[in-house]
Amino acid sequence: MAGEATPAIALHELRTGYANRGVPREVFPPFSATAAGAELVALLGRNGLGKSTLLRTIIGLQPALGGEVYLLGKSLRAYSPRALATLVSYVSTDNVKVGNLKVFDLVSLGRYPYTGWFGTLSQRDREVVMRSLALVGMEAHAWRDAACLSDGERQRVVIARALAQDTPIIVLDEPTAFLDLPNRYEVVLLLKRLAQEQRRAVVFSTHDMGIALKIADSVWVMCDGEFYQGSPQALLHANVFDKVLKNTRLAVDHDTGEVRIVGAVG
Amino acid sequence: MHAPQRHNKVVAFSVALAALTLLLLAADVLIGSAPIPPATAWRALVGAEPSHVSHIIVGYRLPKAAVALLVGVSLSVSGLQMQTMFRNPLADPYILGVSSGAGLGVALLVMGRSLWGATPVGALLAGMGYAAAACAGAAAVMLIMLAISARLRDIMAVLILGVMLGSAASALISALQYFSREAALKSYVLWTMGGLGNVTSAQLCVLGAVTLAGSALALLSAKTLNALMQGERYARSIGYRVGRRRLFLMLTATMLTGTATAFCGPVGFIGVATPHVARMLLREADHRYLLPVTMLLGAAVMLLCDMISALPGYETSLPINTVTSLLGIPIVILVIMRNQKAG
Repeated sequence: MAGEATPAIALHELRTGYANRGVPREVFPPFSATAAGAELVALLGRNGLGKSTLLRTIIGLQPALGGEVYLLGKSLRAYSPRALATLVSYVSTDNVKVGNLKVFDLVSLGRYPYTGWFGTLSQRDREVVMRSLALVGMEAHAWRDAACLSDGERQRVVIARALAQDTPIIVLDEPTAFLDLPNRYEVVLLLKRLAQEQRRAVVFSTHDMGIALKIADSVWVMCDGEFYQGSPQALLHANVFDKVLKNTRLAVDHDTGEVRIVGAVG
Repeated sequence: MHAPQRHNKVVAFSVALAALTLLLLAADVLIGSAPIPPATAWRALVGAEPSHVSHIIVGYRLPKAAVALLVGVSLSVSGLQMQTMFRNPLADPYILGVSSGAGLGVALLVMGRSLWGATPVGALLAGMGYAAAACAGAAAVMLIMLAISARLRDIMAVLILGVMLGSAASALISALQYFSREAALKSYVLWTMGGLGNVTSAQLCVLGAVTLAGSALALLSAKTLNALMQGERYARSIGYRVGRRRLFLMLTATMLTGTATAFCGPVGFIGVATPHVARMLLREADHRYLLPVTMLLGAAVMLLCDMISALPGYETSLPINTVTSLLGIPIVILVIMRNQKAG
């Protein structure tokens, strides 16, 4: 994978964290990783390890404490905010409810890096918005009030918004949180299809280890100050998930990736 | 419903609203303690009436109606900007303490002058007009609000912060009042009572220019406001330099609030109420539609308030702030109830 083409994302000895009154507070030790184009990458790790911080650092929403983020072979810092916005789109966990906002308008925010000072959409912009909605199966809902969508529908719509931004890289922070089980599978399968068909690098953080191991092409794992990257099978065989589930009553099946309870229930 | 249809709906709505505003403007000029028939009023406007009638119409009622229109536009636009900027449906210049900050600026100018008298500080204060003093005070509160609210996640905490800053400004004003001389105290108290009729023609020109410039700048920022609706992080992820844009928005809102407050005293609840009425009528969240309609609505509502405050048929009139509060507060309560239901 690596070496044959420029990776969509390359992290080099990246140190993430916050500078508090000039004093850096590192949330995770330095590590390196890559994600290729058309690859679905799942970021796994327990709460509080800095998954969201890492995702925000990758897309330039917060500065790295050290090391380098390369997007399409060029340092993140070399891109202007506008150029960056045409390169990487972001779906956060924020669920901002605005009354009277149409689904179409919400998705067309993704076109903002391409429109003029007044944000007027061209015919092509409208087509991209409708096509993005069609890709997530929400084109029939374009004129509904976005505040009235169900959680599953809303997640599809914000993914459409990222698609409308027309970026080779899409980063999503816990897109399966708050969803019911079928919707969790549906959303990750949708991401897989988008990565393959649209040739985009898609990185998402999640706590649904089972789903991620079944569907993702590659997995990034943050655990005990160590960073692991590889295919789900490779990491399963390297016992990485046993480390993640250490000191719990859970274990992962090395062949299927299924999580099971050790010992009697109750 | 498609884009051209939506566009036509908003245009039709704006035209109707503009006609209504003109109608209200005419009605506001005609209504007052002295009954003047429309035909006489028209002759006064074109200069064909005796001086005492022309004095009432041209010298008093027309400028007062113009001030009502301009203040309505200013406060409504800055209210809409603040609601989006703070992502808070209840934000407006009055509730967030920005009007109180403007009041503190004026208090320092009016009463501080007598305290510091001949010192360089006193000379500096005397050199500043009401508008500049009010804008400086409004800007001070706005800066503190922006700095602190960036660390607050809860929208209610932002409102409480606004109330606290407003109270702090009022406390400082009380302290100033305690130490200031009688004449200065009196002129300050008169200012706080507000009123749309005490504006000189020079002040009217300043108010007109600031309202025009502020409204134009607000329209220029419609795209930014749309982006900020989804939060600061999202706005940055679609390429906005949020800090810079927010400073621009803040300056516009401060300029509009500060000037309106300087000349008319604090006027409450217009800024918070009219953007919500615009949203309810249009069923839109897009600021390219909301801004012009909010401006027109602000003008119409303020003209209506001015007519009510004139108490046709009575010798006296009500303070404008009383009328705007009584009209605006029910709308604020409605917004709170709807938000509770949605959340």
